[in-house]
Amino acid sequence: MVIQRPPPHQLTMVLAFGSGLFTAILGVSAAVGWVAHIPSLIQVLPGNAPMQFNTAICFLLCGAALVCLGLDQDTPARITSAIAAGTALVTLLQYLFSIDFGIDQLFLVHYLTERSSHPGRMAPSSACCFLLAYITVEACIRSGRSPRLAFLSGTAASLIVMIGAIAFLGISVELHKEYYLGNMTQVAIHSSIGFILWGIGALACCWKRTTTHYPTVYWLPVSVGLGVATLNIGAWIAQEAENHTNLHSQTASAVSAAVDELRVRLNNLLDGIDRMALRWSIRNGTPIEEWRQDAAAHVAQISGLRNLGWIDHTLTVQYIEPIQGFEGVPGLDLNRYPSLVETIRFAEEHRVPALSPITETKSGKAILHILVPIFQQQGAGGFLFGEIGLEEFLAPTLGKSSNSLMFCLRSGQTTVFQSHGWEAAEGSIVETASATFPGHGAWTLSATPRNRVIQQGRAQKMVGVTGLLLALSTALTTLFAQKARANAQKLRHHQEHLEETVRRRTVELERSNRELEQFAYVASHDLQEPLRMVSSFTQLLSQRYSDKLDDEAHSWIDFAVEGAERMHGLINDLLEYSRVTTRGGGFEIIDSRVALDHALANLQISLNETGGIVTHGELPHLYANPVQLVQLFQNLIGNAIKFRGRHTPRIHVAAQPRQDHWVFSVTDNGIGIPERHKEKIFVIFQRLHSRREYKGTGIGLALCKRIVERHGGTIWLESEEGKGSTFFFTIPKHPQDSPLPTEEVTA
Amino acid sequence: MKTRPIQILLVEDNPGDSELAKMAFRDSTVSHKLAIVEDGELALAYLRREPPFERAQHPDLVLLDLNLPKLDGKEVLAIIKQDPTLKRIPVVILTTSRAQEDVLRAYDLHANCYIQKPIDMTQFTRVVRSIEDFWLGTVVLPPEV
Repeated sequence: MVIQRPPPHQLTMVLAFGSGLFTAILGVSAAVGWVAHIPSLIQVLPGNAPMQFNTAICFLLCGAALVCLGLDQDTPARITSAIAAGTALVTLLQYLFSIDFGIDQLFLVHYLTERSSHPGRMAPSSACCFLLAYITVEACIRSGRSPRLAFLSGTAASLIVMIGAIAFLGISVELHKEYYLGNMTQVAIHSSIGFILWGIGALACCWKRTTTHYPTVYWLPVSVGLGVATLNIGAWIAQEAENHTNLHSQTASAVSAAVDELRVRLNNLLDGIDRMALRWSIRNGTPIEEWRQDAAAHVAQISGLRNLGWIDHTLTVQYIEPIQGFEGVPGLDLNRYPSLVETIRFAEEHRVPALSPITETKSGKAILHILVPIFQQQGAGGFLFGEIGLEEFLAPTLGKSSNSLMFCLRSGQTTVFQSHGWEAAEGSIVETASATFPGHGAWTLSATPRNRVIQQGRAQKMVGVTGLLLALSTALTTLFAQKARANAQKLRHHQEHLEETVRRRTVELERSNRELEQFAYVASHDLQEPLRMVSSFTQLLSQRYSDKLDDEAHSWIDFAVEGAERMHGLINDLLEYSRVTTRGGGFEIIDSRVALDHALANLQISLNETGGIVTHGELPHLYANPVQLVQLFQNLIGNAIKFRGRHTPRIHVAAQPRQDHWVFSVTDNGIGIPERHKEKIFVIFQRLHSRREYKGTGIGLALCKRIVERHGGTIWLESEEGKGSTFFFTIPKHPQDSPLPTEEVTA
Repeated sequence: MKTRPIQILLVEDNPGDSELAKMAFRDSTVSHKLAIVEDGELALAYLRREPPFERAQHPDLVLLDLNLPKLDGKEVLAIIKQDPTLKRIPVVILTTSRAQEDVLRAYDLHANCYIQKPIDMTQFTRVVRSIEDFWLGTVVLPPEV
């Protein structure tokens, strides 16, 4: 039996209608935004991913579908959501097989293409949501056909809420870009809100339909589980965002430290050469051997410094140290190199060491020249210049943290240095710091973490694992709670059914008892009248016409009268038998000994006639009907006297206590009862002897049985033919739970 | 001694019983007149001298069966015993029933006595005779006012 709880239809209507209307309006407003060039309607804030035109149309369709579903308009709901799902499916195929069916910009050319892999193409997760939306609508409409469809509808709607919520969280902490599938189009923030609301509205519809058809909302555990999982993913996303912030600041501090180090090292170098120049000025020229020693020390000491040289004021290279490898250089006129000349002039003019632009050697190595002017008392003393191999120079600084970070050093537009794999890291976390040196020394250093996958901390892993376990356990808990509730309901129905049956049976029983009573009453009145007529008038006949009748006629009349009288007796007995339960009277605590005495007093005459002796053991107080207990003793002892055999009747009455009842026994030394008749004797009007042997209708033991049973006990017999019988009967010690009621029936 | 015969009203629907009663009373030594009506309504009409009993005599004794058509014996008894002009008339219940509740109910309604019709003809005659002896011979009946 399925009891249909009244589902909260009003709330369902409001939710379905409200969220359907909202999403439809959302779609319309974005579409209007595209047509009317209102970016705030398309992407809310500048820089955000726009809601594509197709997405907007699909929102309009699905919103309308949800409104229809809420209003039980199944066919329009189906059609609108199916169109949206078709668009979504084509979009997904485009992504999957890298093809273009041309539906992305079918309606208009998309002029906002931020965070879009293809202009106008719906984000893949949006497309998934629209597909799920159609599944939800279709399964919801058909949910009456099978519980599986009901399950599917709720699950699909829950998934939409989940996808929307995750996208929303990702966008709001700006993590979306980091983790978005490849470089596909991103979900717009208002699209994610739209999916969440649509999903909630759809869940309301599913709830309504499922509860209409089934006692259990099958999808609720999945829904709850997904909800908890979403919360968990939210926590994980927050943690991940925190990690990213940390990574950004770590990278930033690493890059500024590297720049500082570079600056210090370069300044030290410049200072060293500057001091050489100073010594030159003071001594007005340094002897060549001394100079060479000095220069060789510098070159040996400073990594990356390939050589040091002196050029005179005509810009001709005079000295070079070490000379090996640079044999051709002395005598070289530097006027051939305009960029060097320019740097030399800069240094001379500003009276500072200056850096030249970066050039490449014939072997393709990046080099840099340092030019330090020498000022003498008489005219210019020329310049000291140093050639720096950048790779060697930068290696101590940028090479040491290359395990975790990648660097890119730019001087102006030129890339001076780039860690291996730098290009692949483009678009990820990049932090930049710069340093400026005289001349062409405007350097910019960028750094990015070498591993794009961030090492999650233990806490975050715990969040992930415990969150999933939590989601699973809440889903299971919900499932078990539902099962328990369903079982309880089933049990309650069963119980109600049982109670109803008992109630109905009781009423039937009461009615049948009443009818029996009625019948007995009618019998006592109406059956006896004709009987009396037969008997009376037959007797009258024999009296008045005595002389005209012979002996045979008289004996026949006697038979007729006797028959009528016997029937009279039978009817009276039947009446009495029927009234044991219906007119039996109430129960009270009585002394069974008193009842026995009462019965013996009633049997006084026959006891006197037969000389019978009745003894008894200790007899208890009982909860019983006094009149009926007396009758019970009287009938049993009366029978013992009646069927006494040849001996003087000796009768013993005893009572044995048992756990919750008394066992009474009435033992005699009478004729006994054959084993095969032990059951028969308790049946009404069953007799074992002819009327000639023993009088009676055969009601006595049937009455005894009925009285004992009314008291909640049983009666039985042990007997040996010719030696005597013992009748046993039990009476409960305590009042029965529901002692058979004594009905007062008015005839 | 009484100057007029004692009036007895027998309310009995069974003609056989009426016949037996008539037969039993026939041999009576006391001067009496036996009227017989067959249902409760007629009994009340007789007692109140309503048509068709305008000329009926006020009965000195009512023999009332309990099982009667129309108004049953208990209802008739109740009406008689609540009526100030009738309540003094002794009412003898003469019925087949020996059900306890019938007996109790009859006495509750102030029946003057309750007799069960015996099944045996001899006994029946004896019962009628004893009614006759007791109510017609022994007791002092209320005088008619």
